[in-house]
Parts: sequence; structure tokens; C-alpha cells
Amino acid sequence: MSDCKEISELFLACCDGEADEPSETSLHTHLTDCPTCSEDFRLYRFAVQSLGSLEPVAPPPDFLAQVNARLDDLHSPSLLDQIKDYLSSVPYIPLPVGLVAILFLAALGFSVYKQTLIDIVPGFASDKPLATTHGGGAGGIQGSKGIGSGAAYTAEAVSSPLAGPSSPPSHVSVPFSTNPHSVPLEMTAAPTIADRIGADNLTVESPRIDAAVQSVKRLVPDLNGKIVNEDATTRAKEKVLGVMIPSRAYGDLTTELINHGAVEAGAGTGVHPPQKLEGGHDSSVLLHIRFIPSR
Amino acid sequence: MPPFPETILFCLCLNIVVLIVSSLPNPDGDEDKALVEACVRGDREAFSKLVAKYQRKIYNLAFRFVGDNEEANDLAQEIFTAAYQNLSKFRGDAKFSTWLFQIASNRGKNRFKYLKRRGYFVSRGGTGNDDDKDSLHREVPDDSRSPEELLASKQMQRIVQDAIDELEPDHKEIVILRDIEGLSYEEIATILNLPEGTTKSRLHRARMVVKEKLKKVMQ
Repeated sequence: MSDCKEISELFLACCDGEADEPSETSLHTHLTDCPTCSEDFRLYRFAVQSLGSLEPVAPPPDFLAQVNARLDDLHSPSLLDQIKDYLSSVPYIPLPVGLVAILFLAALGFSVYKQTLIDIVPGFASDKPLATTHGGGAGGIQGSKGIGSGAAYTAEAVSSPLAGPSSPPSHVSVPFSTNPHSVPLEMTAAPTIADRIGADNLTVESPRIDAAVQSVKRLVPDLNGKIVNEDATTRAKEKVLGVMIPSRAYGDLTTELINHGAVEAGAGTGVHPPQKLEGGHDSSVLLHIRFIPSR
Repeated sequence: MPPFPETILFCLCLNIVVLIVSSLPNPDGDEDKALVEACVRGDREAFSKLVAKYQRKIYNLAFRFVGDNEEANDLAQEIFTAAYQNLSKFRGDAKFSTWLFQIASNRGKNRFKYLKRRGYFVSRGGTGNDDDKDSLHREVPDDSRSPEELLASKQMQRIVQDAIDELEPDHKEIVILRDIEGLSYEEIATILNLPEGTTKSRLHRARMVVKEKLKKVMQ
């Protein structure tokens, strides 16, 4: 091996003391005859020695403290990290169990919310007994003054924002099926007055039934409706007024009735269910209003 | 007596010796492993012990990469921080020191590239720029001293550091690991994820570059 390039490949092994004997002999033989390679090898060895002779640079005395401080900074986690840590520290929960837990929490939250609503809104709670006792003229809002009296209605339930006139008339299209006594107590506790009026016919308590009937008769034309029939019921002193009104006017009618007299939903004996009559762009509702004397 | 039984006996003895030697605990490796395990369990004191043990080597490596104390301090801290954050990924296949040097080498090379891109070595008055190569020639060492004195002189130290700074990142990395930190080829091959032959040839090329740079100065 006499080629200078090939010889230079042996520099590394010879400098590191890893060259085998034939390689070392070959190198030294070549170096004796080749001053260029000899000089190169000398400088090569000098470079290696120079690199190895570089004095180690020591870290500052407080280096460890600085590293620890940096790690401390690293360890003051953000709120997000804390949440992540918390969540990741919780043992694995199977998906079904997790879903059931979430649903349970949601139900619990809803029941607490509902209870809170009853506590905060007095009318919300006071609706319950009314709803459970109405129907067939057995119940009713007390303290009413009658439609024709012109006096302000004082029942708390009506002044509740839950009973506002914004209740959609879409209730009219719901099939007539309500029997308040068949509805569980839990279900009847929540609905608003408007809901209770909604799908059923209307019952009006008034000390002066005739005046109340006349008042409604005056009101219906204003709502683009008409009186369809007028009957006396089997019970004494009760009257039923059949009115045909546009479904969009249903809310206005019930609002008027609420504002001027005691109104309660429910079908009494001999009272017909409301009927939705389709026609043109708007549908009409045949509604029976039962007038019963105040007690 | 035929030599056959003696040979068998000799081989048996040799095997026993090898087994005993190989079963001897490696105090360094075991200690590091135990400390790493403690660190993973959250023992910061154990990590402090590891830092204390390797801080000189890592700081020196960092300094050789960036050639400046302030930068080296920051880089060394970054290396230890990265090691701490990734301790759970240390599988124990290699020695902890090898793993640590792997992090150090990667971070050092990246920092060097970053600083070079930003012209740090130029603004520092060092090298890293072709226009600045004459800086080596301005510091011609005094030949009247012995080779030992010459190598130990601050002037020579500066020249060698400047020569290192001028190396390509890959050459710089391997020169630092082998000629400055004194790691074995096997360790370097593991750190750089290269075959041992490639490691040696790369080191040879890097040394040749350093040699040429020093040759210019010496002339």
C-alpha cells in the first residue's frame, strides 16, 4: 500500500492506536519515503492532540441551582395543565359507565334546576294544585272577578311571566286528549297556564255568567272569529259558548280571557274538544268555552 | 499426558472468569439506572445527583458547540431540562450517559446551527464566516515553546476552538464527542445512530479539516 490517499486513511487508526501491525508497518514505511505524507501525519496527530488538550470548561458554581430553578418553572403548571393532570390521574373509566355517569349528573342537575325554579318563582309552585284539580268545573282560579266585571285579574299565576301571551297557538293543533286526572302529579307540576289552556277547551269562572258570555261575544269578532253555538249544559247555571277563531288568534283570546277573568283548561262534561279546521292559508279552531259560576 | 485435558481445563477456567467478570455489577450504570428510576417516580433529588454527576461533561460539550460561556450555560441547562422531561422515555437499552449525550449532541448541533444562521459567531468576532477566516492567522502561536506548552497555551486553545467553530455541524459534533469528550466509537455510533465504519470515516474527514485549519495557522 503505497498510495498517499490510501495511506492517509490509516492516520485515524494509527493515532487511536487501533491499527494492526501490518497497517502500522505500511504507514511508517510510506512516511519514511514520502515527506508530504509525513508532514500531513505530523499535523494530523497535532490536530488530534490539540483537540484532546482543550481544557475542560467548568460550569458556574450555581449551575445545579440554575437547572433546578428552570425545572421549577417547568413544574408550575398552567390551569389547563392542572386540569389535564387531574383528568389523567383518574383511573380509566369504561365508556358505558362514563356515559351513565354523565346522564345521571345531567338528570341530577336538571332536577336541582327545576327545584330551584319552584323556589324562586312562586307562581311556578302554585300552579301545581290548580292543574291537578281542574277539569269538569271542579277547580278554578280563586279570586276572579269575572269577564264582564272589568276588574283586574289578581291571581298570581296569571301575573307570572310563564303565562304570557307569547304562548304559541300551535297548541291548538295538538289532538284533544287531556284528562288532567290521568296525568301524573310530576307531569302536571310544571306546565304553565298557557299550556294548560292549550289543547283543551276553556273554562271561565265568573260570578256573573251572562255578563261574561256577552263580553266574550263582543271580543270574538275583534279576533276575526264568530260565535258558532251557545248551549246550556246539564249543570245548572253553566253555559257553553262555541267560537270559531283563526288559530293565530288563539293566544290573543286566551290572553284576553286570562286578563279579564278566571280561566282554566279542561273539558267538562258535555263539552266538545277543540277542532282544527284547515282552510286557505290559515287554519281555524272551533273552541268551546264553558262558563261556570264562581264559588 | 496429552494436552487435550489441559486445554479443556483452561477453557473451563476461562469461561468461569468471563462469567464472573460479566456478572460483576457495573457500579456506574446501576447507580444511574437507580437514579433514573427514582427520577421517573418524581424524586427531584435523584435528578440533582445526575446533574451533579454529568454537569462538567455536558457543560464542556455545550461550550465546545457554542464557544461562549453564557450560551453554553443556557444550552447545558436546556439539555438537562430536556433530559428531565424525557426521562420516562429512557428505556435503559443504552447507558444513561449515552442517552444524555445523544440529547446533548442534538441540542448542541441545533443551537450551533441556529446561532450560525443568526450570525452570532460573526458578531462575536469569532468564525463561522468565510470573511473571518483570517482570524486564525492573526493568532500565530509562538514556536519557541515546547509542544506541551504550546498546546496548553490560551492562545492555542483559542485557535483550536475557532477551528472547531468553523467545522460543519456534523464534523463538529463528532470531533467533540470523540476527541474532546473521549467517547468510544461504539458510544458515538449509538449516539449518532450511524454504523461504526461511517463514524470513523466521518471523524477522519473532520480531523483532516481541523488539520488543514491548524496547518494554515502554523504556517
